Amino acid sequence: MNFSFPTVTLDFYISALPVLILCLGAISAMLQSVFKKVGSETAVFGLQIVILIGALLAALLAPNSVETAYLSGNYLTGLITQFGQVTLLVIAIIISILFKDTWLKAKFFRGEISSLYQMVISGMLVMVSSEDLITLFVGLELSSIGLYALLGYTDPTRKSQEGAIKYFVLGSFATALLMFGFGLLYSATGTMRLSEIVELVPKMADHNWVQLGALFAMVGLGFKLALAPFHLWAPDAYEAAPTGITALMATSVKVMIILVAMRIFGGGLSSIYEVWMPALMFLAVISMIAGNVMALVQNSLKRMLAYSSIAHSGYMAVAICAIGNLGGEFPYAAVLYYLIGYAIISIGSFGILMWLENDQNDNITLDNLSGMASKHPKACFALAVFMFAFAGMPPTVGFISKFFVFNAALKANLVSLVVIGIIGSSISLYYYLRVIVRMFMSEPVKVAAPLAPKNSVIVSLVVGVAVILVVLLGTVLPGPVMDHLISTSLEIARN
Amino acid sequence: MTQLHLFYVFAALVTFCSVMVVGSRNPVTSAVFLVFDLFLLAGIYAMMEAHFVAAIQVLVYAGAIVVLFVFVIMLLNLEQESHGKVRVSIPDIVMMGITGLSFVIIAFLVARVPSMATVGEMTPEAIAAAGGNTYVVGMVLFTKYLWPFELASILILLAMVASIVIAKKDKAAKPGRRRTVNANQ
Repeated sequence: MNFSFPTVTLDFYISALPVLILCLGAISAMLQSVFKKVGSETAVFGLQIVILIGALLAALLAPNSVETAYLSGNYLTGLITQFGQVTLLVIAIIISILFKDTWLKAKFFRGEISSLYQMVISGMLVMVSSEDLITLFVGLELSSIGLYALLGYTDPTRKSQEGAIKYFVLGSFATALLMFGFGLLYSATGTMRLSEIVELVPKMADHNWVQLGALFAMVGLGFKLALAPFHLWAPDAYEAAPTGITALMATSVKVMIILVAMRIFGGGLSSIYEVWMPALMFLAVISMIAGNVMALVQNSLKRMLAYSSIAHSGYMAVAICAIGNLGGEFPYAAVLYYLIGYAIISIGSFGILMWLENDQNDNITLDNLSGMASKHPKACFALAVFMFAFAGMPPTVGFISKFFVFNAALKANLVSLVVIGIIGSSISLYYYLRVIVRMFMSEPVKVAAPLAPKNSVIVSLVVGVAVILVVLLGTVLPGPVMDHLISTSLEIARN
Repeated sequence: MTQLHLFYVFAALVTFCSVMVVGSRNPVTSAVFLVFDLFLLAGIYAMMEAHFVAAIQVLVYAGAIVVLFVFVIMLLNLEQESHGKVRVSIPDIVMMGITGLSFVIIAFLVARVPSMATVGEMTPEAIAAAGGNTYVVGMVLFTKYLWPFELASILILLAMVASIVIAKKDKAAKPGRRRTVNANQ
């Protein structure tokens, strides 16, 4: 056995710059709160935004033309990595900006919280840019442990702790299962690198450890993605978290897990798809049904969006199934398009919720929204657009992205999944449209803590851009964006 | 064959101790069984010729972590659980049955492999030839897994910050810098 010390080149530093900047930012944010002068809310916000934008620029400018593996596969560059990093950083920046105008801003823009936030994002970046199972695991832990704390820090006396504990216990359980799966894969193949696993797996396709490893890895990732029946933590955690963190959990975590699932199941384990695909199909079906049906009876908007996110995870799982069955680059591009669309819609609607909330009421219910259109017509219009988009009505991005996903599934002969997906979408119309009906067509209901949101330029800007993007991505832009995503996916698509 | 028998003994004892950790009423008893549990696991690691992991298991887990457990038990002043019998309902039994059945199936599947031989370059002979367990772990950590190793330092930092953030009381902040928002308490 010979060990060679890794050659850490300048190229590596340049491509890993987003992660390095975030780690540096996390440490400086921690030090920031020690000093009175630079530890103010504005200063913390400023530093956080500068660091995140710096990381975004580094991710955009990183060399990406060829997929290159640095440090024996622990850090990958390339188009998919870049897509993941840029998406995650844009989401992080927008959520951070949205926090600036909420009642939680004094609690969120503190040195230690800012530090946690940046470390969580760096863990996500690590995860989307690795093909080594050990690094994937460390990245997953970085992002999850930070999220457990971010979820529960706001108020130790209230419900947020309960949700955090639930997320923590089930999340650790999921991590253990994922680790067990990775361990079985390693025991069977003797390597942790997905690019080596992909070559070894076809030779040992009937090896029980490979198959069990694939299934355990799927269960672990399914927990994090909130696929039913591993979704039980999601509604409580979503409801308990500060709404900005809920938005992070609903968007960034999904982007991260789907990209990792693409690498593991579409890449490393693609040759044994007949083992993991039936299981994933089962999860997708259960998620689409359970998510949509349970969302019907929710009164709290955050809980409703949690169940809806379970259903949307199901739709994304359909696309992953199509990747296994069909191969080629189209299913990859479809799921990436779905992720973009879902992220925009989620951030828009959670942005409105964050803006509506105050210290008396951080859990908006349908009663709060009743008859709101007369007071806040623009916000209600935007929320209505987002609800239409969630439900998948044309001409929004929700329709086109579902169309791509179901198209890929049909090409892969997964007709039953498509039928169930469409049934689920039509069920979902009820609860999405109910929000619109309550806002526009019913009288205000007297509630204990009325909402009195102040006008906010930031929120108007973010929500306005989100509305425009939702419509543009549903009408004019699908062609060019899809072309771009297909050329991105060519990198990892194996035929 | 003796090694296999030894493994069965260790495995049975680990299972017994784990059940006792969950099952005993007195928290200190649980902690003591946890120590036994971790020691026995170290024995299993040692049998797999992972001597370094076995030593670390004893030093870190059985030595340090369980001491922390006992400290916490002492500080919280936990007493023996006093409430009566644990009620087991029919759904509980069904769930336990399903869990047990899936465990048996998984154990069966794990055990039914074409060959149990070590694959990859990390065979016991190769490790012994390269200079032993500790040497190989160190070398792998600083060559092949340099990047996750460095990230693990960030992970530990994150865990520290996270636990402080969760455990900290807001009132402890200095009066001038206190920026709490009145929630509906």
